[in-house]
Amino acid sequence: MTLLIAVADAAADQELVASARALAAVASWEVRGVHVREPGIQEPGSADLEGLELTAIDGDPVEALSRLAGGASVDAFAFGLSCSCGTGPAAGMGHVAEALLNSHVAPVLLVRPGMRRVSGLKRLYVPLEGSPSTSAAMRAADDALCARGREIVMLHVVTGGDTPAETGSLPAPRMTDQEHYEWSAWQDEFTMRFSTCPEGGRHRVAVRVGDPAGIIAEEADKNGAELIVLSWSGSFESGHGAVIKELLNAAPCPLLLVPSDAPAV
Amino acid sequence: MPKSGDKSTTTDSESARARKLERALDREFPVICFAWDGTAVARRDTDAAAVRSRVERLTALGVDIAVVSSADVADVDDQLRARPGVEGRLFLYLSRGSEIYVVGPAGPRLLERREASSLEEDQLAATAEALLDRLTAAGLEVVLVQEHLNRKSIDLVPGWPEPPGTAVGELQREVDERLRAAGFAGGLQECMDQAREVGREAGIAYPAVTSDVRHIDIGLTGKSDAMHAVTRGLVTGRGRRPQDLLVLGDTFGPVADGQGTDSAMLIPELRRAVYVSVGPEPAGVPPQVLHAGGGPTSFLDILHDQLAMREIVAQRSFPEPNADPAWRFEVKGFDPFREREVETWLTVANGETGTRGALEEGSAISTPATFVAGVYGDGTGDPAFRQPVPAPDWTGLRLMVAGSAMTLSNGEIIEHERVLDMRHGIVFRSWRQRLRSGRSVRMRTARFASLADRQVLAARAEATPEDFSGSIVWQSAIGVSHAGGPTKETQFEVLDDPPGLIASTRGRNGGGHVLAVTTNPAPGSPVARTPQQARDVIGGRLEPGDPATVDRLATIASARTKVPSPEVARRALQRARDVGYDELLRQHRAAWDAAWDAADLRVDGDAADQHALRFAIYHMISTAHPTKDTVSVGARGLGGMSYFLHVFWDTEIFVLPFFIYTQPETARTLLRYRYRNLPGARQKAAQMGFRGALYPWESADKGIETTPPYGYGPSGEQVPILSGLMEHHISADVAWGTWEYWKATGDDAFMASMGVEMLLETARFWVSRAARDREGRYHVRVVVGPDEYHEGVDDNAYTNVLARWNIKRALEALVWLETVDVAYADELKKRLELTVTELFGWRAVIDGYVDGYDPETLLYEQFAGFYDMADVPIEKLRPRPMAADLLLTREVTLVSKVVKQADVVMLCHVLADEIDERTTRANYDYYEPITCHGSSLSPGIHAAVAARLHDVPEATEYFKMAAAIDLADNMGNAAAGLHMATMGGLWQAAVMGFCGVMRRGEALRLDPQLPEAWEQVRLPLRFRGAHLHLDIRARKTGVDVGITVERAPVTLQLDGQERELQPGRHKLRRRNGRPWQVHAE
Repeated sequence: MTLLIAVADAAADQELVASARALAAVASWEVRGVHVREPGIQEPGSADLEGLELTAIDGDPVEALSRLAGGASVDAFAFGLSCSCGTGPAAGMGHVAEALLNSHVAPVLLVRPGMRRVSGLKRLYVPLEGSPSTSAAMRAADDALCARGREIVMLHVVTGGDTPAETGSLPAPRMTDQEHYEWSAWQDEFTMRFSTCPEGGRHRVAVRVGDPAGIIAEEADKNGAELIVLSWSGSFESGHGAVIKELLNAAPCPLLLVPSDAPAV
Repeated sequence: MPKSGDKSTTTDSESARARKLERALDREFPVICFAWDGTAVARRDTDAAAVRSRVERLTALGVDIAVVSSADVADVDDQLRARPGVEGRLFLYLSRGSEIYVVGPAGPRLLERREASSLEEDQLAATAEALLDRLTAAGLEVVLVQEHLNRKSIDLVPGWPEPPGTAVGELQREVDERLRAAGFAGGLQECMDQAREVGREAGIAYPAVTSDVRHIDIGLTGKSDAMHAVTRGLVTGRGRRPQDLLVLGDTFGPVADGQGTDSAMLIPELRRAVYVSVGPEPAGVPPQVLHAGGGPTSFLDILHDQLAMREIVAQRSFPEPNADPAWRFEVKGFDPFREREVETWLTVANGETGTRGALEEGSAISTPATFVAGVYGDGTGDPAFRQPVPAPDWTGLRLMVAGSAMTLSNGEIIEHERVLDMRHGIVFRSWRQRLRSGRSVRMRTARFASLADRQVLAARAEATPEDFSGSIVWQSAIGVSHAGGPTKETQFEVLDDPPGLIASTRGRNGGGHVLAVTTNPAPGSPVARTPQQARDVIGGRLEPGDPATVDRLATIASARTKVPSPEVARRALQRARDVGYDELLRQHRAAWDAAWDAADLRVDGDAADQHALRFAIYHMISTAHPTKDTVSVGARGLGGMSYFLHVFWDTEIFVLPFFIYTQPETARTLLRYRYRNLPGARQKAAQMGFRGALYPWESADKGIETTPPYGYGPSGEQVPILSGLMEHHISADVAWGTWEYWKATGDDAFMASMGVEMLLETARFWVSRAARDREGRYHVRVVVGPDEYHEGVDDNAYTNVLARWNIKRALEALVWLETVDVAYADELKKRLELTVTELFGWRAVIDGYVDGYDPETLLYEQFAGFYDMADVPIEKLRPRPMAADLLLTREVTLVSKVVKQADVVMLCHVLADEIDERTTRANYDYYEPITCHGSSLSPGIHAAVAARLHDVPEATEYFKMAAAIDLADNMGNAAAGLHMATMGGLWQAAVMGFCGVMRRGEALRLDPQLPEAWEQVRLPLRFRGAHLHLDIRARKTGVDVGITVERAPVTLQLDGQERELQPGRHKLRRRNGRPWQVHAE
């Protein structure tokens, strides 16, 4: 597993590099850096980034990075959310990151300046709406980050609307005959259905009601989460994608977006 | 004659011979004996895998095999290498009848050996020397070759290459030419005659002289001795007749001028055996031998046919699910996200045990479990309350294919389907998998919990290689239950008789189980047992299309306070095994047929509704025990650990009516459970400072309150549970069930012996529970009604009205008892210390009970102050069902006009006999919009009430909402158990709602209002001794109802008027807006 950190600007991406390296360390991933040369922007050096092995490339960065992912030499990317020049739909996200997300090739770590840094990754949040197709994030978290001493909070935010219609979904029960039996049974099933964590990890199911993005940000902030792992379905415009779009601004810690059809990390 | 005629005659003769051969072989032979060289194998170095496979499979099927050869054990066994699963089926008669070996899993074991005496050795040596002298004197170059046991062999053509057994013609010519050139005009035959002569001269009384053309053998024994041993050991010795024996050889007829070596196998005792030669037999065969020809290939075909005849029995005996889609609950493919739901849906249960429909081979996401009703222990959870002690898991059965386990993740799923045959309570699985090794295997299983013998659980499993030959092995095991629970320990031991495994499980401070399991080859399946430590291993080497089928039988013995003796389960298992899977299945099916005859509800016009009703009825029948009063119906049935098999009001209010009107014996047993637990109800009332009987909100084995005082909410936060403290309406619910049962069945014996006492004790509780205010009105304060969003309320209408009803009915029942059995009535009053004064006081309480009813609006106020609570905009309560306490928060629902589930509407339903339809309509219209159906108990009752109010479209919507609770794709509600109350509610919605059949006094009101899609409904009902069959058909202009009345008359209430129907067939017709017309047929 190799995480490729896309460095645009050495100064602006210090926090990106720090969090990405920390995440790579806890997940036992290899880490490399890449810089796409652009006119007028100084090419950063390894020394600027605490020795990060950095490769500079020319040409169309989207094409170059996609080729790397497609060739299986890179399994995940990390981008900073400090871009002020892009035309992307989400604040701070450059067009390269957006293109890679849309191509569904690999998980993408997004770090905005000012976010809580990943360090030991004691706690991470995985928001789940309770449908199989949006549980890729949980699989990724279990595969790469489930470990003794680390808590993975499976956060299910209930909204007042319809429940997912997808077969195999397990939203919070709309009927709770006897609360004391119903919720524990639901939590057990929710965990078994969406988590495949090997032994050693600690999972907790949390249920909140309200606006998903606000709740996720609030819970993650309040409980000191260092990472939020989300499934990425391909659009910022509605549903799950709209929640992610909000979190790009509001999340207190880095986001790892996992394409819903991505291979296991 | 024309030449063509000759040809025709020849062809006819061959055809006749072929038909004769075919007829002779068209039956199963219990014993098959064959020569080795030339018959089974062409040469000594031929690969004998095909023979080995057939021999092992035939022995696994119980066929005795005898191999006859002049070779020794090293030669034959090295080539054959057959290892039957058991010793005692395969025998080797070697060294020309001088040795007998039996072959088992560990290889050959010598049984008998004829040892030549020293004199005989000398005689044999002298014979061989004499013959050698004669031959060499004639100028022949011959040699005495290796010495065999009890035999000397002279090679007539040293240096001649070893010919195939089937190509002896050339050899024969060579030998004859050489012998004749040397002066033996008679060729080989003359040479053999001389050998006998010198043998006799040497003192051997019966020299056994044979030849395979190349050699002349002089011995003390021959193949005839082997055949005599076969006759003694495998034919007469095992109670068989000679015609049960098939003998296969290749040289029965003359060879050159002499007899073929296999002619010695033709002994007089076996003249009625079937002899078949597969050799070329150039000189023809003796009359008693049939000629097949074809050599070893033909031999293999004959063995294969013998296998196929038996295996077809196994294939045909594998049960098939019902083909009618309306009886099939199908789960196609495999969805890991839904697997726990699937396991619950596919539970097979019989009121005593329930086994989840987990994959036999297990998986990381499987939760196999078998629950036993009524056996509890102290829970180990938090809080620790009575929990069921699950039985050991008996379903574990894994298929090993060439050493690799067949699992859904091993390779690629070609097909996977599971079908619950609801008609007969059997779960079928059909699965084809292409393993990573490239091999494809088809597996089928059929599992049931016997409804005929509730101790018995059974499964048949069949595996068939589709495209390979190889080893297939079933491994069975007993496992510790996945369900957890208060299991203190489980012990395992190997069971010798019947062969299998036994496991004993003990609950913490509670009951226990003994589970005995045996797995055996199914009839007709070519597999055999190989006992190993802690598990049964059954298998064999199969070829494409051959089924490896095993029958797995388990019996459970349970006790509520201890672990029963293993002997109890073992004896039950022995009985089950003696009966066998097929007969157990037949009895089980017959029991289900009888159950469905009494309960099936057939709906034409809406397949989904029909399916939902069958599913509900199947699980209700599965869950209830018809005779055992130590158990009742748990809220989540016998398929899941959720709710710990605890018994709630769900049983009396939702499930009991189904049994009252279809299987009243079971209804009686469910009420006897409550009567049995009356002491626990008295104890709870006393502990709370009241008199009489307050039934526990949650009941387990002891009848005492088993509701935990706290639980955990959505995010794991601790929440107090008040239902055990405050939800007292259950006492009136039990009383209601008692009364309903009595009125609907006329079971006076039950009422007199148990029912009246239950009514009196629950009534006494309600009298003591009510608090009198200054105005003389009686209040029931601080309760929780069916609407559990509002806790600690006063004067919940459902509770109070039903409590008052309870007191009234108790007094009525006592009066009735005094009429029919005054002595017992007096005894009962004395035992209960019921005085006239106390009873008089009850009447005052009845008159003063507050019920919240407003005669002007016709509304019942759900509880005191409900009207003053905050309104919640209707749109905030949509879409339904919704968990309002979660979405709006508990703080909001506690003080708002939001109803979790039918409460006043429920009251109108259960007391439909007393609450008129105008009042019901008013309350339904008021409460329905603000009910969010946050409980599975709600939609079915709303469907029933809406239908009674002739609001059929809304009733239909609610019916479908209820049906989706367990079956929707996206709810996941069923993973830990089914919703028994929903199922009862569905039945009530169909029968009491859409069919409009409800009790009115001691009559049945009839007012069908079928959903638009329902064209016809047929249902059996039992009512006051009468057996009824109703056939309701929707017409454009109204409804037609055919009623068959059996055993006793029945009183109907039609258009408000009672009318008695005598036994016979009646036709009722109601045209739109017009009264009923009744015609007797």
